[in-house]
Amino acid sequence: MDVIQLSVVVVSFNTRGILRDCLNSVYAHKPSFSFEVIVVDNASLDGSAEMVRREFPQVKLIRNTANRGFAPANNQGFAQARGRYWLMLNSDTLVRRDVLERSVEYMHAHKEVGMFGCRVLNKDKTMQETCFMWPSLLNLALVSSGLARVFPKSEFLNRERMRSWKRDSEREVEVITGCYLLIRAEYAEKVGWLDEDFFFYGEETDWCRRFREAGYKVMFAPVGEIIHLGGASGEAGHYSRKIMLGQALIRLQRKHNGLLPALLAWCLLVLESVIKSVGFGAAGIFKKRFRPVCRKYFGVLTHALQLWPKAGKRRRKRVLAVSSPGGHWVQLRRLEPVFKCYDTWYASTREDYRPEVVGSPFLLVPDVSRWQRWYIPIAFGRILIVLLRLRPDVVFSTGALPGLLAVIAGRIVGARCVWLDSIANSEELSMSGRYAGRFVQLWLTQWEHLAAEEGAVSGPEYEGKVL
Amino acid sequence: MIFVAVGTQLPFDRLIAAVDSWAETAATQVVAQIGTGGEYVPQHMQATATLPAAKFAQICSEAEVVVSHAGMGIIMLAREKGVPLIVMPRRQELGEIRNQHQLATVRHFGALDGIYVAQDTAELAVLLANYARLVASRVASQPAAELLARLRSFIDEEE
Repeated sequence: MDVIQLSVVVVSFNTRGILRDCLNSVYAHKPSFSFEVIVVDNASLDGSAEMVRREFPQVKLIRNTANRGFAPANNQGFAQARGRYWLMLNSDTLVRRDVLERSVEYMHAHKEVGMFGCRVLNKDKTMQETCFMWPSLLNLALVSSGLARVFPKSEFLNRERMRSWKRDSEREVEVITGCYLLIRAEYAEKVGWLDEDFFFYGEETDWCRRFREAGYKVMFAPVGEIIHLGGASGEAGHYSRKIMLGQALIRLQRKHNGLLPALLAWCLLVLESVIKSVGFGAAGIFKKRFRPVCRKYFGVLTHALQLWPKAGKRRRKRVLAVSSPGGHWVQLRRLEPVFKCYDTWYASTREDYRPEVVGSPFLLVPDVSRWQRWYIPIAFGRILIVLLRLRPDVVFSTGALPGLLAVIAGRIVGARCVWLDSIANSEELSMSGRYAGRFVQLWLTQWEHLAAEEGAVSGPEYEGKVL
Repeated sequence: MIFVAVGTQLPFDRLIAAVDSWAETAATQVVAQIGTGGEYVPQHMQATATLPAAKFAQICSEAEVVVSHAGMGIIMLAREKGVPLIVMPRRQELGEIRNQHQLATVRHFGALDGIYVAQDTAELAVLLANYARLVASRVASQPAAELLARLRSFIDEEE
C-alpha cells in the first residue's frame, strides 16, 4: 500500500450543498499520489453527514453529537490523519486544477517550511486577500480606527492586510488564513495542534505564530489557486460575530504578549465601538443603510465585558490509560490517536513499557491477578493513592484486574470511566469486564454479538475493533 | 531467524519442546522466549525466560517467522511488524491456561491473512517445515474510526 502523502481535513456544519461541491472539486482535481479526505461533521442538522456517507463512501467521516467548535473538530480530524501533510480546507471552497499536487510538491522541496498557503480567489475570480500580518496593537489600531478603510491606497495604513501585494509572488508571511492551510504533520507534532481555547477565529493565527516561534517558516506561494465562497468581510452582520472576532483578537494578545497588551486591545475595541456606534448612528438619521452598522457596534458595546476571553475554560482533559501488560497493553496503545489529543498518562505493571510512550508520562501500578486474592486490597489501595494524586478526568482501561481496580478507584475520585473489553474475549465478556460494567459510564466490547440489544437494560456497546 | 514466544504469564512447554526438536535440524537460527515456571529446557535454541518490551518488539520485527501461543498481544505485534505468524492455542485441559479463550481467538483470527494456525504439534511441524513459504499480512489494519470517534466524544463531553 502506498504511503499516504496528504490528508485533507474538512469541518462541516450545515453546509451540505457547498460541502458536496467542495468534495467533488477535491476528487475532480485529485493529486497523483495517495491521499485521503476526512470530514468532521459538527452535528449538522441539514443531513450533511448522511450526504457524505451516501455520496462519498471513500471519505473518512467523523460525526460529532454536538457542535464542538472549529479548532476541536479540526484536531479530531488530525487525530485520524495518516498523511505526511495535513490540509485544513474550509467546506466553502473549490480546489482548482493541480493545486493539491503543486502544494505538496512545494512542501516536499522546502523542508524548512511548516505551513503553506496558496492563492485564493473570490467567487467572481477576483483575488481574495489571504495571508496577513500578526494582529499587533498597531495593526489593530489602524484597522479599528477605520484609517485603513479611509485610505485604501496607503501601504502603511494597510500593512496588516498587505494591500499592495497582489499575492502573485512567493513570500514568507506571519499568518495564513485557515480556508486552505497545508501543514507538515511532523512539525505539528512538535509544535502541538490547534489551541482549543479558541472557539471561532484566531486559531490559525495562533498556530502560525507557534510554528514561527518554533523556527518553521510560514510561506505563501502562488503555485495554484482555490475559490473561497465566503470570506468577503462587510460592515453589516450580527454583532455576535464581531464579539467572537474581538474575543479572539484579545485572546491572541493575552496568550502571546501578556495582560497589558490584552487590556489595551480591549480598550481599542471598546473605543472603536463607541465611535462607530455614535458615528453611524448620526449618519443613520439621514441614511437608512447605516442603521444596521450602528446596531452592530452598539451591540458590541453592550456586551463589552464579554469581549474579554474566559480563561482556561477548555483546559485539556487529563486521561489515565491503564492496562495489564501483554495483549491488553498492545490494544490500549492502538488507541494512541485518541490519547495524544489529551493530557494522557499511561499506566501498566511493567517498567519496560515506559520508553514506549515517549512524550507521555508513565506510571507503574502494582501487578495483581485474581489468583492472588489477598493482594487485591493492597493493590487497590496503591492504585487509589495514584489516582488521588493524578485526579484524572477520565480513566480508560482495556483490562484486566489492575484496570478494573483503576476504574473503581476512578469513580471514587470523581473521574468518568471507560472500559474497552479485550478483543481476545470473543465468546463472552472477560470477568473483569463484567464487573467493570457496573462502574463505568462507557462500556464497550469489540464484538458485535456481545453488545447489548437495542433497549436492553444493561450491556456493553459495540463501536468497532482496535484492529 | 525464527522467533518463538509464549508471553510472560505462563510457560508453554508443549510449544517450546516441539519447536526445539524442529530447531535441531533447522537451517535457521531459533530465538526463544519461554517464560518462567516451565520444566522443559531447550537444547537447540537461544532461550531466555523474559525479554524487555523493546527488545521483544525488535526481535519480532527481525524474525522471518514468529511462532507463539494464541495471545492477542503477539498477534497484533506480528501484524504491525509485517511478519508471518504461526499460532498454537494453549489448552485448558492440559493445564496450559485457565480458560479456553485462546481457542476462541484462533476461531476468530485464524482466518486473517498472515496468521497460520496449528491446532497441535503435528500441524505445527508441517508449518515449520514450510516456514520459508509463509507470507505476512499486507494490510496494516487501523482501529475502527467509529471507535476512536466514540472515545473522543466521550472524553470531550462536559460533566
